[in-house]
Amino acid sequence: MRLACNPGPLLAAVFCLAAGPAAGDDGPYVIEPVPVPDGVVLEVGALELLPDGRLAVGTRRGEVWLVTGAGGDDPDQVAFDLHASGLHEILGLAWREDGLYLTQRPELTRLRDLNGDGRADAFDTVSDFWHINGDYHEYAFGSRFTPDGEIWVTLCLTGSFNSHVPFRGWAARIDPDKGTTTPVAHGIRSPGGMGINAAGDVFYCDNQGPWNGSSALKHLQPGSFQGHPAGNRWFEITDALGERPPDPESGSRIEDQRRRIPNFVPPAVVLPHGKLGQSPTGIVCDLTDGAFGPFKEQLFVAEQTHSQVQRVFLEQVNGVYQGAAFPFLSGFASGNTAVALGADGVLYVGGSDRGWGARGGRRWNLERVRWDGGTPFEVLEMRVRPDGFELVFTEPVEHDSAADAASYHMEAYTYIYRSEYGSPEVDQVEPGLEVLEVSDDGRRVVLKVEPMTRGHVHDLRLPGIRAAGDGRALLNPRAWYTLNEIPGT
Amino acid sequence: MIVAAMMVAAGLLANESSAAEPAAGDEVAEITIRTLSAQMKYDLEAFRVAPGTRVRLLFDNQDMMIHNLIVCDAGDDKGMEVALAAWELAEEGFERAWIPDHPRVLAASSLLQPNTSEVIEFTAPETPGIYPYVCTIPGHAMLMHGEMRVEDPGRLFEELRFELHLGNWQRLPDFDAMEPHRSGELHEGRLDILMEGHANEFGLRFSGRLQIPEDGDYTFFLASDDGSRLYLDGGEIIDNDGVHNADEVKQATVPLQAGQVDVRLDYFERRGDKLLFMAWQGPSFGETILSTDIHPSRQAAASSDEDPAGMPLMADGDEAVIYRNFIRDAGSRAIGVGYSNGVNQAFNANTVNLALLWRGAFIDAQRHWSGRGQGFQGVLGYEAFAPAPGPALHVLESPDDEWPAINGNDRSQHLRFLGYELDELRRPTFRYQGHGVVVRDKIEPRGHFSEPGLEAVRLVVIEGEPAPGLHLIAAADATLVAGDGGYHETDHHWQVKVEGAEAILRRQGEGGDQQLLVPVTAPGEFRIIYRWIH
Repeated sequence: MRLACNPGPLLAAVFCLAAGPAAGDDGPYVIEPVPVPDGVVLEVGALELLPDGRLAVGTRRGEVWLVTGAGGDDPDQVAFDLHASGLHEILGLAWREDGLYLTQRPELTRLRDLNGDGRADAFDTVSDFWHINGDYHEYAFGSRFTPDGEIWVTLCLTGSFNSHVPFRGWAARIDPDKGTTTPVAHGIRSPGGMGINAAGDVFYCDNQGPWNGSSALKHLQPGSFQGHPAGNRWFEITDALGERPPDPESGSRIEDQRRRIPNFVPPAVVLPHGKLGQSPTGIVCDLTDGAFGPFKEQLFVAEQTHSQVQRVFLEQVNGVYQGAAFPFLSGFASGNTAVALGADGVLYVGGSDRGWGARGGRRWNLERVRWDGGTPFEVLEMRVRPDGFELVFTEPVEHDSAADAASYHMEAYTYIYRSEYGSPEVDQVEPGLEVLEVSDDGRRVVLKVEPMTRGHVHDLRLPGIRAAGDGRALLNPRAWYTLNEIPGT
Repeated sequence: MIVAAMMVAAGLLANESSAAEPAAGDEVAEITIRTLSAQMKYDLEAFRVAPGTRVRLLFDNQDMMIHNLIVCDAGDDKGMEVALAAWELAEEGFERAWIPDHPRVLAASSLLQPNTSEVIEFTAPETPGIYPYVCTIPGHAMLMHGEMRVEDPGRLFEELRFELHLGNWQRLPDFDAMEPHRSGELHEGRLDILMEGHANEFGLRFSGRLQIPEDGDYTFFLASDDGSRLYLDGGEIIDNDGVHNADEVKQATVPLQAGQVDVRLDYFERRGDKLLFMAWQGPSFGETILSTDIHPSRQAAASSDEDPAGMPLMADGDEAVIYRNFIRDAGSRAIGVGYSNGVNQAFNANTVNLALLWRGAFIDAQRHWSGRGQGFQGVLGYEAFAPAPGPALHVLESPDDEWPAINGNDRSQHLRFLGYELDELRRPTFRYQGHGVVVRDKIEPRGHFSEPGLEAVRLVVIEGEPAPGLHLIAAADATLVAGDGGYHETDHHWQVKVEGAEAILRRQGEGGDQQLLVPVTAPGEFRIIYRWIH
């Protein structure tokens, strides 16, 4: 079934308007709707780009649509082809030469079109090692292909607290060529999406709840414990991760418990609950080499409830991922769940608000973000130093504003690590700030921070920073750095 | 005095509680509101209290998430204004239990962890109206809300009596000429057609009095399924007689003088759905409902995207339609298939076997495509049957070995589901593997569901070298016996025949099912024909 879009005057107008130069105060990134044919309900659960530029859209209602022209300038050229239907809540799509792989609730499936009519007619079960007891919460999310040719899946718990059947709360790596499925991590609560960074490491978002004081982006280091112990019972039936580690102690702090639990990998980047969204979902890495702006190799993280996309800068210290989260874009139309970024620099975002409300207000969305080529005035990177942080800006800063410690404000806090749902921010620290250096080119600022508190989110505001020349303020004068490790210690 | 909140089993608003006895200073209305597990809903959509009543509200969180409950000042926004104000707390929301500084907050619980409860007490406002209650944790309010209806008992019936009559009528009979089956009083002051529990073929005459606070025009509203007629002081003002549904709300406006008016309402129900809705409004008060039933047009708009007609799926022309989801009696990995001529099947990829056959309509996707999609969906058609339990294949070491009985969500120990391929009409061939063989298992329908002899023809193709003692189970039923024409018959609405292979009929254990087994001894193919009989 092919459906063309009849965008109608309003949609066409939006399209043309958005395609113009514009941008202005809102920055150089513009959100535009992708026109969708009447009658199509696109509760987007997964997005993937095909080598020919088509966008594959997997939905919660179990359909796969192949969209032609989604990134183009002419809405009349957008066409939707129904590739497959009848599947069970698609939350992962990954393309490879031998077919389109999708993660649906019961299994990882390979779709093939044997007769070449554009519709899938072979549905091969690649891996279905996990159990499902019929609880709505037992979602399965799948990654794209890793550089090793694997797809990783994360398996939501049965509800927030329990793992009633194997292997809820675990992640596994699946090699379709070898036909192997190997447990790779445990301690997962409620994933919202998965992604792979430029180094090929796999990340997922976990959501605030029991043992998760805040939502966070987490690194699925092989063998790691991610924080929620409900799934630990399945060490009884697998030795893939060795001995069962001790369960964490409720009412503690992650910083303490990771010393007790040898394979505990702390959240790489906390996305402070309520401050920077509250339901992070899909993840995509900017591998466009500049086609999407200055944020090379950074991660973009979709946000369901607040209808946003956040940005994440990662670095490794003492072998542990950590880094900073920044606001990126707000104002999407529904509950963002999936993201994809084309080599041509078009970011696709889609989702739905079904079952969980979202600020956007629409039942579902498929939107795209295009960069108009202008430089957004932002904190590009926030890097840790033994005694503070180094900030890198996308544009030169005005020297006096950057050299003035009053242009910055920092507080630090963490969360209670506990079996109850969520946590307030606790153990607040207000460190002193000193500007040690503003580079001659105005792109770098070195801050001395005293004290640096391991395990804390370092919440930096930059209200006084101005751009050199025209004196603009930062588009997003805020960053949250998760300090798991301090270099040199 | 304590007025216990009574559950009112009203057909259209089952989740409603009432505590609207006349208010006095020392009365307490006790209300319990629970959260429904995994549904993002309160279990009580509405409750009633009289103005100024002390309310003792037990909020019991039985969900696996945290929730709160905030009672808001009057408004028809389901509490969204207050909820949105709570969202703006972003930074401090958690510490402040998501309770915003907002003038419409009347009472609030704290943040309740799962399986905890709390009592909140407050005094209902003096002004009648609809006072929403809502969970203000961001994202919850759209589904999680209800209404406290503050209603002035002075606007309800006084000395309301009923006479119950039994009979099968097409129109209202002359109740005057009949001896009532029963009669009595309705102390709540509201018309209630369900208090006697009759479902079909009954009539009610209600009589009572309304206080008219001042001279002026008063409007009465009436809707019923089936017929009804309303009289004021003996004069008919609304005629809604006949057998019909309650879609239409009739109304009449009459001038009345301060004082009181005698009201009589006659109603009858033939069979099927039933509802009686009555309300009135006057110069100094808004629409006040005088019945326990509330007309759908007066209920808060549906709290989700649910369509009362459901979301039935059906074959697209000649092409089959597939629905993978949680299907009742087919497990959590069910694959439903609806064929164009009204044959349907569900394959269970946990047990790895054909799980269900039925005919008629396929399935309703609404359960899974609205809200979070919790639970198992039953089939939409009729004459469903499970041909055989457990896995499709099993090795019998001896003739007395039992066929493994496994639950629909349990995985087969030996069979691996490989997926399926679709033919040109999108009909799947399921593939599975185990005991040395790969099986291709496909159903093609034969006949039409509305005609006799409808069949599901199951083609089973075996590849590979079967393990010794391997069998496929074609059917199992306590009543299965050999019948005519090669069919094995049941006492139910189906029979079964195996073509192209020997089949063994055996009884499993004392009083167990009769099982129709096909020994699988070599590669090849055979057919199993399931037929619906009339």
